[in-house]
Amino acid sequence: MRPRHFALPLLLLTSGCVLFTTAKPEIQNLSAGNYVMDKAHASLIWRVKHQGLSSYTARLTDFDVSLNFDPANVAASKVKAIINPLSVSAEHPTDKNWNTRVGEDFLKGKDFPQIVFTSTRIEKTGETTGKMTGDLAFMGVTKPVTLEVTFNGHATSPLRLGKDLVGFSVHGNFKRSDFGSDDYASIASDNVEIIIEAEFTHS
Amino acid sequence: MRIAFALAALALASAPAFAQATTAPAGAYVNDPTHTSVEWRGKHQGLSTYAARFTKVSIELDFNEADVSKSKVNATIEAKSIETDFLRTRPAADKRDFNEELIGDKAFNAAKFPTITFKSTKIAKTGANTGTATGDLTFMGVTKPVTLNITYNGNRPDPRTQKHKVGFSATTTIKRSDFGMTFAAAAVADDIQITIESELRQK
Repeated sequence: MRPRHFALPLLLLTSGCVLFTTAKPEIQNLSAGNYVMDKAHASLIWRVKHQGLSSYTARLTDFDVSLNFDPANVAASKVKAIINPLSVSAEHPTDKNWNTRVGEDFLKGKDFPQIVFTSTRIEKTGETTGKMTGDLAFMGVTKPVTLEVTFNGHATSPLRLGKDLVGFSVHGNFKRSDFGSDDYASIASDNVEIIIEAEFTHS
Repeated sequence: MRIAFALAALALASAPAFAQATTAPAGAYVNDPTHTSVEWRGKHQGLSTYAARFTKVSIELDFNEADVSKSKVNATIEAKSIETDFLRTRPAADKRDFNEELIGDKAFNAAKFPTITFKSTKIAKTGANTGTATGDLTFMGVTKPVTLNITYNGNRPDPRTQKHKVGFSATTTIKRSDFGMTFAAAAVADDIQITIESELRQK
């Protein structure tokens, strides 16, 4: 009883202080090794230009990124992302099967049920920025794609037993024709823009 | 001779005009919901940018491309159309419905404030295809001026409907505390970025 009563306010105090404090450890002092993506704080948005008039914007909600983080030598880190192309989330005013159709017809998710990105080269370009090149396997074709990465910061979570948390933003573009995607070419741009946000917890 | 010169001058003068896109017909336009997206984002604990959207949006544009300052735009967002994709991304053990939490009275309070509206008060051109739309944003019962940065992506006839379509991208950042929106203020930033893509069809 006593420890429990003591622990709760301590936990609240600690979480108030540690999660939002600015006195954070140096990046180099973060735990090395495997980090697990926090699915509640991760998003993958893709955009293609529609008829030159607007950027069609949708999400893929079923994806996971595994990160092997080397804070002492970021270039030695490794990233692998697995994305379900049938997990499209967007809206259509009348078509109830819209998301399924986009996943099956446009992203060919039935024939190619996974989109996989495996990093091959990570280089720092600034204090908190980097370039990550990797092999993107999409619609049966594997080609290198380079993404811009921003390291947003880190925290230590008392709610997760003091484990280190890290957060990244990723932005990039690729040509879908490189992967044999040429459907709707007259109305949907060849360029695909990717915007990813993700938090990770040291495992 | 004089006529020949005038014709040549006319031909020269009009050559660039033909190379450019046509001017969209002036008048009333309404948004195409399939090609409209309203995303909002806020930094979460400094680690990642939380991304969500509103799915029910209606935009009415009175467009005057020749003199954009004469244009007017009104937009209405249904507050309860918040989509976080949490139901699709939550861990199996997590039974919360985060959309409903946000719609509820601790956050957006959509029962009391069912719509978010924007009414332009001043539209100005800033470049060949860029401009600003300042207007009154009414959110959670508070009305304050907000300025959207707008890119005019172009216009084209829609062969199916024989009506003209115009396309825009717009961005702005608001301080949610200006509107009394302080839900989860410890974890999610006060600055909220709004990204709008929309195609609108002649009425």
